[in-house]
Amino acid sequence: MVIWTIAKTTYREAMRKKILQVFLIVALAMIVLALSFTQFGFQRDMTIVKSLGLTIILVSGLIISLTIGITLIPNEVDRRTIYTILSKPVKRYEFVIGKFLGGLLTLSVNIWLMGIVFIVMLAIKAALIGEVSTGPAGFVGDVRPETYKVQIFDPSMLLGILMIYFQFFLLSAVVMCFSVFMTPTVNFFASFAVYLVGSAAPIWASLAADKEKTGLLVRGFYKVIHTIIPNFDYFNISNRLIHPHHEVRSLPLFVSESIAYALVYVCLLLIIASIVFDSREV
Amino acid sequence: MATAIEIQGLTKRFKSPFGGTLNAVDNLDLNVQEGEIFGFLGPNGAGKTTTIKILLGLISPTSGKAMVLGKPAGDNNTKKRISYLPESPYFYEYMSARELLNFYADLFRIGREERKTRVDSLLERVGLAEAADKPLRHYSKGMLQRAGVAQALLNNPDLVFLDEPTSGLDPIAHADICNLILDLRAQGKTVFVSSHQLGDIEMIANRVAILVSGKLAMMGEVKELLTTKQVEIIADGVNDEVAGKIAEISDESELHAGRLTAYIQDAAVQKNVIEMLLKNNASLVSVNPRRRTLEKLFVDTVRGGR
Repeated sequence: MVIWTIAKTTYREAMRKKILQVFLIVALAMIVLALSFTQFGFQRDMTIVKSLGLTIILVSGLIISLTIGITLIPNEVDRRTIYTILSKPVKRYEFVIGKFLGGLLTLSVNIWLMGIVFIVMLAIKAALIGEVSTGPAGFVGDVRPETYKVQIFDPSMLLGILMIYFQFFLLSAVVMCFSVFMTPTVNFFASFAVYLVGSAAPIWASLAADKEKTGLLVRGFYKVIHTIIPNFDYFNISNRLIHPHHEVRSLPLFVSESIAYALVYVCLLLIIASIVFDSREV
Repeated sequence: MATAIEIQGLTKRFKSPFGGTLNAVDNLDLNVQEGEIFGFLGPNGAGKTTTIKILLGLISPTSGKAMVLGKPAGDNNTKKRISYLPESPYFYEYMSARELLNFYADLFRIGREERKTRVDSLLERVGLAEAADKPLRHYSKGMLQRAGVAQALLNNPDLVFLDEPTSGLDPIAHADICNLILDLRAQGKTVFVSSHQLGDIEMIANRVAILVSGKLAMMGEVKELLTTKQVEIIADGVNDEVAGKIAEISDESELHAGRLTAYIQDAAVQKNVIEMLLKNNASLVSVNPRRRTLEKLFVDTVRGGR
């Protein structure tokens, strides 16, 4: 109950931030504008539009999780609101988890709002077109163009947004963990660096496995990076969704593994944040 | 009477980034009895807020013992029985006073039915009933302080920590807060007040402690600390010559526009001075036991303690 009370208050305060509101409006406008893209054939246009839409949601999610998360705890200390909270029968881990959930709720509302707008706009675009034909227009000899109905609701996009969401669910926990002992500016750059390094996880993995070109110490270093830094590449499935023929593994299994990975990592990061915050003087 | 706060050998040392250390609180011994208003005084940087933070469990001491209501400071069960109003409190300004109190009531795990009754009665008690649903960003400083006091009373605490509760308030709000503190004592609550408003403390506190550079410089009953053995003699129409003679035998005296004020402890000297004044046709205004002000005591103690 205490955790939920703190989470609700954090959410209500975060959603009032002007910067977040402006950013959300801009992102939504960009999604709508991206859908008006008509340059090539229908299928190619849709591929570009889907890719653009998911990228807008991805970049927005990154900015939202960083801007919201970095101030969650430092703001409470600076404004001294934390004194009236922690002097009450509130355990420190309840405060940390409450703040995290509040930030997460803000992130969820923003990402899913963009996601729903994106999916609805995609559906409208598909419905307006109705059906597309392949082959040359009109009759050429005996060849009749084949027509098929356009899929109005594309469930793979929902999956793409879900994976983006879990990616930033994990990043939010990183930001929260750093925010218990870092200033907002340092936290912003540190978390962003973790995100970049974590997104390049396959590179570190291949370098760590390359026995021919790299020495033992260097390989060990890459191995440590690959092991400690959360692997954000697990959640990057946009290409597989947009170009399904590239898929090499069972998608449901891959998605379940990635979500489980995020949950375990988030729990670990929150435990670390709670332990560090418990010994911190405010 | 039981002890509400017991502090023994409390020390809090902060390390500076350049390798030095600062003793914010230095081997402090203090006790506060249940049911009293205790004034915790000291100049800025004396260690008052650090001590309060230790008592609330917000920071931990470097060494020493701090007990609150019989339990070590910071005990979560004890926190249900205490409350705190920080100096210049900031609250979530998008909330109304009612929402703010509901938020804190949730933190105290006060049930829905009881919460409504308490919130309504507290809003009435601190004079915010009419503005209860206005966002706090539209509140004046005095109204915010009243909201702060209300949140500090939400759990019907046995012990209340107030840090500068009357600073920056208009005379009405000031008087209301002082009366509220007196009401708390009348209800048997213990109030631990840190303040620079020495007039308030002199008026409401049972006992005071003065902290200088983290060390306890003075502690005792307000009445005892402010009463001296000297007598204050005031007379009008005193000329320079008589005033000079009196100055020689008094402990302390001053002449201003023909009015002489002399402070004398020795009974024989007191009699002698009064006779001298009457003999020289001075008009005797008053003869009273001398009572120091808390401000004077504070200034003397702080200057002497540095």
